[in-house]
Amino acid sequence: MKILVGYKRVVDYNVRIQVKPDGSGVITDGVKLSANPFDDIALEEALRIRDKGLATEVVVVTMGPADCQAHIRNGLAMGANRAIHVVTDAAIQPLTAARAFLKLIEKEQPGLVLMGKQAIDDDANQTGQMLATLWGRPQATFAGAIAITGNSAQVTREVDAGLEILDIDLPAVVTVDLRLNEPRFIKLPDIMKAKSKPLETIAFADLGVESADFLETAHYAPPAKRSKGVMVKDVAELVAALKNKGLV
Amino acid sequence: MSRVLIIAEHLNGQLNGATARCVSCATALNADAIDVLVLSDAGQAVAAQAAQISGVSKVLVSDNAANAHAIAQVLAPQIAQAAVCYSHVFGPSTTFGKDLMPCVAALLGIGQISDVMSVESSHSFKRPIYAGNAIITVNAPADKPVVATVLGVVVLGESLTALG
Repeated sequence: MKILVGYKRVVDYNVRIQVKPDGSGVITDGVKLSANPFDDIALEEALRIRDKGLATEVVVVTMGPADCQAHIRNGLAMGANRAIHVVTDAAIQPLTAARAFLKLIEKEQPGLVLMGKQAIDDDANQTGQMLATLWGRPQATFAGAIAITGNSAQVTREVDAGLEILDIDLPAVVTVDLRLNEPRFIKLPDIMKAKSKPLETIAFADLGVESADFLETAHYAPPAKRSKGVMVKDVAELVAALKNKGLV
Repeated sequence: MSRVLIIAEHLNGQLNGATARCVSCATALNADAIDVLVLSDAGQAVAAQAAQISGVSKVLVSDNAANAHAIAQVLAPQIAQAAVCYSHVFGPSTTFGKDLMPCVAALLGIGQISDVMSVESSHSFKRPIYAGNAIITVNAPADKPVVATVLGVVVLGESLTALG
C-alpha cells in the first residue's frame, strides 16, 4: 500500500502574525516558513504505518511556489520515500487543492491519503473532506488514533462530544488532529540522504485542473483588542458588574 | 432574496445549541426564508425543538434509516440535493459541521467559507485566519450558493453581528 501525505508550507506557528497597515494581507516577507504542524503529524503517522510493515511507500505532496523545494526536502528528510511538488504561485483554495490531489491520486493509486485537519494559515479545514467527496471514498476527520488491518482502518476521531470510532474501508482520506503522535526531529544525516531522494515537480497548469478559487478576500484586519479587565472587590460587585453588562 | 438552509446538529434526540447560532447568523442576512433541515432516522423530536428557535420559517425532516450513522458521506448528498432551492447553506462550526459542510460544498462545486463570525452583506462575511490573529472579509460570488460554517462561540446577550 502506498500512502499519500499532504504537506503544506505555512508561516511558522511561532511567528506573531501582523496584518499589513493597508489591510491587503499579512506580512510574510522575511517571516519563517515551515511545514503545517498538522501535516507534520500526518507524515509522522504515515512513516509509522510504513515502518510497521503496513505500507510500502510514503509520498509527500506539496503545492506551492518554486521555493517550496527546501520545505518538501524536509519531508523527505523526515523519512518519506519520494516527493511530488505541484508548482503554483497562486494561493490555491481548498476545492482547487482537492481537485489537484484527485489528479495525483488517479496517477499514484494510494491506499491511504493522510493530511492535517487544517492548515494553520487559512484555517479552512476543508481539503481532506472535499477530496474524499470528489474521490467518492470514505473520510475520517480529526483522527486521534489510526489502526490499519488489511483493507480497512479503525479511526478514533476527536469530536465535540468525546471520541468517535469509525471503521472505514480503504482507500480513504484521513485528516489528523494534534494528539495523534509527536513528529520526529530531522537528523543531519537524513537531510544529506534526502538530497538524493526522488522529487517530481509538476506545473499546476499541466495537471489539467479547473480552478475553483471562487472566494475573494477583500480585506485583512487585526483582531479587536481585548479591553482591560476590571478588578472587583467581592462577589456582590462581580454580580452587579455582570448584570450591568447584561450577561446574567 | 436570500433563502437559507440550516443543517441541524443533534445527538440522541437533542438539538445542539450551535443550530440556533446558525439561525441568528441567517437572521443577520435579512433572509426571506430560514429553513432548518433535520436529517435523522427519527427526527420529529429534534424538529420540534428546531421549530422553537425564533426566526425559523420551516423545519424540514428527512427520516431515513441510513441517517442513524450520521457520517458526512451519507448526509452530504441529501443536503446537496436539498440545496438547489436555497441561496445559502449553513452548518455549525462544530466537529460535525466541519466534517460535513466541505463535502456539501464539493458536491456543489463551490468553495466554503469556514467559521463565519459576522455577516457584512448577503455574500460578504468575516472570518478569522491564523488562529484568530487576523480577521478577513471574504466575498463569495453572487451567482453561486454560499456554503458556510458558522462559528459557535456562544456569548450570552451579545448578538452575532456585535462579535465582529
